[in-house]
Amino acid sequence: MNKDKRRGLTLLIVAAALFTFALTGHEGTPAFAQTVQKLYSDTKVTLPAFDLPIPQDQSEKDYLGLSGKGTFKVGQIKAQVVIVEVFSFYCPYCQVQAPLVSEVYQKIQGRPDLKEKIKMIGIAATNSAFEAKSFKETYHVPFPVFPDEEGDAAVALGVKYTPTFIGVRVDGKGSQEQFYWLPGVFKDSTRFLEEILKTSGLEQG
Amino acid sequence: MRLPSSCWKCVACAVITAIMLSSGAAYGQSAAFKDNIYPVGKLAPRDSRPILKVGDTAPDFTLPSIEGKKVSLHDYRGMKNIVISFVPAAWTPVCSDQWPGYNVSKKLFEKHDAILLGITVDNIPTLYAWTRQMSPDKLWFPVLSDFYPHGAVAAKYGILRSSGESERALFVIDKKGTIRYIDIHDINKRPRLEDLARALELLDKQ
Repeated sequence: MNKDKRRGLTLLIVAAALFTFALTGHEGTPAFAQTVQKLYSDTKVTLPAFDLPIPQDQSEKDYLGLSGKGTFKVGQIKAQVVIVEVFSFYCPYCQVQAPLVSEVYQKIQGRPDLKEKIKMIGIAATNSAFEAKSFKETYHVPFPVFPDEEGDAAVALGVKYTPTFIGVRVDGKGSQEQFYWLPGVFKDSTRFLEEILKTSGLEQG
Repeated sequence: MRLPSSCWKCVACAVITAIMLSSGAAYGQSAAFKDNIYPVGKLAPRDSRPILKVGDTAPDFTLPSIEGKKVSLHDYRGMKNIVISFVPAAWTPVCSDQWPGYNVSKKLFEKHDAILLGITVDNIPTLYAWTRQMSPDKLWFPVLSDFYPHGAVAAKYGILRSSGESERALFVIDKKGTIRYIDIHDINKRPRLEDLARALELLDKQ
């Protein structure tokens, strides 16, 4: 079986998992999250491609290692790992979770060995630019946030509920491999970061 | 079976997409409500006959709030601008994601000296349980029940649907009690916050 067939079959396995998830409706339970996480870390799943606008703000460009205008894909971010939070301005759990997500960012920035390796972005599912900006300002979100007004990115990613946290291994050249998927909230920013470090392979478990 | 690599990916992606769509899942909804939202499907965007227009005096009303108080529109006359947000029903998809946004936008309302009144045709216990899912603390604005006589205020505002729910509608009323903005929105969609923000800005130009 060649590599591409294997990749196709992997996606089909994921499809089966998603089917179970659709049937049971228990997608938010930790057990389910772990199953998906494990599945994702044992197999190589490419993050579905979608475009995001290159930020206008220079400090955000610098943070993501991007330049110029136009669009970019997650795999082009200059890092080894990107944590993508799909959230909504209108989502109560996202509102409550916001300070903890900022803590994760601060913990990464506080570690010289990690700050260049892990970057974070937010995708504001079904939010207008105004709504995404309101969320960023209300909760002082320290990382770049992108409005996804038509929900294109959320649909491409298959994110049913917000928030969902996705861990992506990147090489800055376009490869974007999904290794972590948490549909729902986390309670402890230290443990969340540890999980990211272990499942990404940045730190040995 | 021998297929080019891109085909394998396409097949797999198509299967995933088909499964996700067949599950009837909406995307990017708040996990706060996830298994408790009644799937209403797609509804007729509007199902009522407008009777009010910008410039009219807003019909007065008195309704019970989930705090156990009676709230009247005239309580605010001369003191506050008022935004009334009618949403069709508790525990339905778009509504459950609308007020949580207003709940974190208190500053926007305050900036324009406005109060928000949230109204549905549901009864008080239902509204109480539903709004408790929206925030660990109580919402900052009064939530009013237009339950009995059923939908009477919605009917006065010309937004009672034939099914007994109200439209998803926003009315902005100035301190004199004059209606300054009406958005009887497509029931299936959430109004954008910036449209309401612009309507509030109009009040300042009075």
